[in-house]
Amino acid sequence: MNNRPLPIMRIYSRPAIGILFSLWAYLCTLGMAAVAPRYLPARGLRHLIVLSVSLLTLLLVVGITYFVYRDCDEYVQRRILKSAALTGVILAFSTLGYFCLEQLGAPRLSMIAVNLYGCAVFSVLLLWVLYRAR
Amino acid sequence: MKNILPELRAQRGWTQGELAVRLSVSRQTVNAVETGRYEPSLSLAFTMAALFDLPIENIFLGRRRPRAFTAPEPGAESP
Repeated sequence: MNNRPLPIMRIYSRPAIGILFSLWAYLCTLGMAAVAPRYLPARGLRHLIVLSVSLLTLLLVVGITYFVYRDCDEYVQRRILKSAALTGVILAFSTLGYFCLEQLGAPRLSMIAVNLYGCAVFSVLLLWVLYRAR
Repeated sequence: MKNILPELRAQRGWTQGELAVRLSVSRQTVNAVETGRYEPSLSLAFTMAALFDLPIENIFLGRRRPRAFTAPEPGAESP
């Protein structure tokens, strides 16, 4: 019996780091977008920078998720798809619940909050799947 | 679908992790197949069959049988 390390460990630990990095970059750019109005008064330039940086990092998240999906085996791929479906269900119920809260007087939220919430839920589910598949 | 993967693995003294390495899948996948939570794809089933040098039907014991098909009489109306 040889003692070589299991290749699966190598396959799934790097994407997990990639997901965390991309999520961190995405949160940073969203934070930058939030504080940008204070430092960039020019309307057109500000919107261009905020939108392009946010969209690029969102593309980074989507790209890393795609490469993780492609490199995983069939069962883990199915779990990732189930995570995406579960994220959709959680988002649907959460937004419906918050809509009811809004009717009761809760403050209105920006759509970016839904984006952030969905991204965070999916990343947590994805990391859980990869952790279980190690 | 039932299977005899645990028995075959035990005969060879392999752990789930070792079998997973030989099949190039995760240990979680082997566990899910063994416990019947996941039915593997045809290509993975063929890989397992080749690894254990057995036909697929000797490893996976299917419960479902195909429905008997009777050809319609010539000239009979289809439902």
